[in-house]
Amino acid sequence: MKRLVRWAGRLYPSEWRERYGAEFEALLEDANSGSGDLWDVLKGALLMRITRINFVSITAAFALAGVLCAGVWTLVSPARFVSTTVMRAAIANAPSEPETSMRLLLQSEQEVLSRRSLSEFIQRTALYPEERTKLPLD
Amino acid sequence: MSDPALLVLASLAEGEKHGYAMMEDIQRFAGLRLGPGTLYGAITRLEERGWIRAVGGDDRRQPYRITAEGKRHLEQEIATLDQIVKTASRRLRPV
Repeated sequence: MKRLVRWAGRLYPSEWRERYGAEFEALLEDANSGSGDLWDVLKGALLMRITRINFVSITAAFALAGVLCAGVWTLVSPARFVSTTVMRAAIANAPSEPETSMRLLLQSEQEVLSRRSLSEFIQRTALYPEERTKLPLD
Repeated sequence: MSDPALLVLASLAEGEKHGYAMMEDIQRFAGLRLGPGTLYGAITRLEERGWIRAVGGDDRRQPYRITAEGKRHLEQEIATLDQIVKTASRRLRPV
């Protein structure tokens, strides 16, 4: 048990060990260390490390954690594509009534944006290769 | 009074001692055994506050001595504790 307690003493911060290490080891040699002392030394080392953390270290640790989280999120989140376009349509032999032209235009839009048309387009242009292996297009 | 820092100050009020001597002394007068981690946590804090200081030791067993500031702090704490004890005793007395 004494060897374990002495090992736990090495968990103290290095600057603390430079100042108190020798006398702390002498105390561990003198004291009849049991399992209670092992827990006590572990707790002491942890508290000493926590109380020695300065503002710069805390800021650096949080910044690093933020960068890591952002990196992981970028890797695991699916890629999204957004595109916009302006289409100009000219209808040959267009009817004279504007309402009829508008109806034809809406029909064309429905046809272009239909599931069948989009599925065909995605397969032809090989979009979303990873997603298509996991999820069906339907 | 179970605050390790106060126990260390009370032990050193008698005279300079090294870690193990403090541990034994505290066990004798308070009936409480401070673990090595708790004892040296208190010693570190007290030395940083200037309430105790290390005195030259011949070997690794470093003795410590209470400073004038440490004595003043101990006296204040004892006065507070004394007030608490007196108040509690008075309130516990049957009317």
